[in-house]
Amino acid sequence: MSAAIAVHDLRKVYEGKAAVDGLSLTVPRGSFFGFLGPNGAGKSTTIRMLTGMIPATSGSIELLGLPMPAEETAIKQRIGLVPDDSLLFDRLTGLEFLEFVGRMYSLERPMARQRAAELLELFELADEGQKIIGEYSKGMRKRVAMAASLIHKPELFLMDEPFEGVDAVGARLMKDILLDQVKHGATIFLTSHVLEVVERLCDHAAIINDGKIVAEGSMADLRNGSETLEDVFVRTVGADKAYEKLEWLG
Amino acid sequence: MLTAILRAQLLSMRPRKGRSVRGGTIFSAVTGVMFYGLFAFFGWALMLLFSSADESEHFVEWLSAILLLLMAYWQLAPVISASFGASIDLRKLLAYPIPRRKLFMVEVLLRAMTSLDMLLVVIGIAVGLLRNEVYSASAAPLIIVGAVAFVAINVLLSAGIRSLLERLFLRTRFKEVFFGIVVLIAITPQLLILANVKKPGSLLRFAPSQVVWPWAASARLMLHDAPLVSMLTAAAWVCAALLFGRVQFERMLRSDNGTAKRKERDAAPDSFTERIFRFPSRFFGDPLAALVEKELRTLARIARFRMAYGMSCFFGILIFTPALRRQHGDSPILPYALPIMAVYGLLMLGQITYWNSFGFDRSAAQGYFSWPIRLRDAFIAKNLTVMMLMIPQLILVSLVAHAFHIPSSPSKVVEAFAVVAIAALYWFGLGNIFSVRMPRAMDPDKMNQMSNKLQALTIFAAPVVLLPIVLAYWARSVFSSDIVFAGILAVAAILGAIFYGVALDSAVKAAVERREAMIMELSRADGPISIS
Repeated sequence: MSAAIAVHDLRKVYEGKAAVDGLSLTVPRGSFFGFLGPNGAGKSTTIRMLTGMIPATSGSIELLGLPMPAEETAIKQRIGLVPDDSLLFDRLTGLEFLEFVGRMYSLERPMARQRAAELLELFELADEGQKIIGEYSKGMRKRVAMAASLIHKPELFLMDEPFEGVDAVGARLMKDILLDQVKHGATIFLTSHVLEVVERLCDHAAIINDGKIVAEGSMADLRNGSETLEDVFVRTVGADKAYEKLEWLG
Repeated sequence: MLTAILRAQLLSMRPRKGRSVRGGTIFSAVTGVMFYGLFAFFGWALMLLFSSADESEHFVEWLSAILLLLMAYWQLAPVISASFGASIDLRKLLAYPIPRRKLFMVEVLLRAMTSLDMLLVVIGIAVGLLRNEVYSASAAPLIIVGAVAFVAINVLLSAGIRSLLERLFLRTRFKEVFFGIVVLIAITPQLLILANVKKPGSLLRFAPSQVVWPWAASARLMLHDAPLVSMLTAAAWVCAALLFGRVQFERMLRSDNGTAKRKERDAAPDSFTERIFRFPSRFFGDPLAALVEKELRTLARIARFRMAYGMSCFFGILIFTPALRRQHGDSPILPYALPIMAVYGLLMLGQITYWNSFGFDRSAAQGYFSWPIRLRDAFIAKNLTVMMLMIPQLILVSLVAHAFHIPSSPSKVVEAFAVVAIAALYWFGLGNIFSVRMPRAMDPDKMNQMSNKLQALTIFAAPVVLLPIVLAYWARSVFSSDIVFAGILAVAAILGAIFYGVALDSAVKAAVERREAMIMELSRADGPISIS
């Protein structure tokens, strides 16, 4: 069976500067893949290229065995997306939005409506389902976004910082749902700054820095014995104590 | 501190690199020159008038009336168009230790900067008086002081009105109530005309020129008429305007936007509004039906849209009625009034719908690129939504026209429907292209955020593309034949359909090519000062 994500020599150049520079990556099907990197490393740009939201400068992308962008619509039908920026329509209620997204993925209205209500229940938003999304807190918005990514039961999830701004209870709920999806054969590709979360959830990970993959492998291989993922990350990406140079801050 | 705020705003407003952005900047510059050129022309004409010594005995009445008109335009035009230009965004500045006095100064400075059109006219008047031989050199300081006092009163008053409206507009249903008040004020002259007042222009002689009024005090001061009393009165008005502006600004700072906002709720599944929202599903399949439904739900919950929609129903009547009723019989354009008013209604909806289709979607517009739908469906759905909204609007316009004795027979209503549908083909085609080429994020909670480019588009480009329709009316008047009219209108419709199709393809292609820039522009947040 083909890989869930197969990327070869992917590049994205902005005004002569490469945001993603020759990235090659293979994500096996059924894996929980963590994509790590410091701010501005190219994580979000990579996810945007994978989803077809921005075109790549060069390189090839294959999702679920289908080439992107040639099979764009077929691929989109099978992926669930939680982007970093809001993909929510603020003037719709949670229930209306989920139903709308379901219909975008070709679900019949009654089915979309039913799943929307069930997802709101699952994400503990049933009481807020009649409120417009513009009145939601940041954590609630993330939960709705994740619910929307589930409504058509995708095979592959692409998630950019899905737990950002979510409280501990909500994050736990989301993690349990994602783990359950992996158990049922789905593939999850997520970025997160919270290394403990990645360490606990993911079986594979890659670290990107300055647009290039600097480390990749199974979680056990990356940790290399007794190291934590944070140690690996700091060692790989590098971090100096810049604050010591600012005497007035001392 | 003030310069830091203004610099931050300038930096956040700087255009991004790129050919299309440069093109937009040039377009803005050209339209800006045309707009301010018009007011510079008024200023020049008034300079000529007031530099003439022959008519100086009428100057007190004339200048009082002119300053009254200027003041009315200065204060009412931004209110009616709900567009105040740049304004301070307190949500972003309140976190910093900036004294409120300085924030108010920024606000006043912005009001002055956005009043350049009025300043050009006032400067024209002042220069005219300075050149007038009737007034000696010793009158120059009073001319300048009078002009400055008039500008100060208006700038401070407009700062206060903006703060007041910004606060009140967040209240439940206030925008609709406010719209009703504006309509009532605007409708008064029309009612007087319809009530057969013989000379409506004679009402102007009641324009007060007594020194107690701010415009009259400024005028008399500039004309060296009872200078001491005029100066004291003008100074009192400046103080009053300052007090009003400051108090309203303080109140706006203290207001809690969060609690004042209207709470929207999902309607019950069998409610009337819910049935309206689901109405498109009777005619279209998904994703088109879902997209149209989403547009209807979204627009119905935006107070700005509700206000614009209300205006599109009534403002055609308000604006065109005086031109239709003349002192000696009806105007020759009376038979065409209904189609004109209907098309005007469509034009009014443009700035918050089809000229910038993705404005209210903001960053969520990226969904159209990530969901498995054809992008052209998103454009068509947005255009279809406006057309659906036009049906009740046209019925309402026809009823109101009938009440005002404007020809509105069934054939006229059908004609108006046809003309609006054809006009929509041209405008939607253009709008789709501009929605991709010049996208702009719109905040539903703020007032008008139409860019200069789009303002110019509405004023200049929109009427030009309707030439085929104009040609049909011209042919009917020349040949006195409805068949010729219908034939040319049919050709206009075919051309419109072709134009719409080509423009749609072009917009979709451009959207795919520049989706990144488009999403970036739609996700863009304002600087410390927002353009509203």
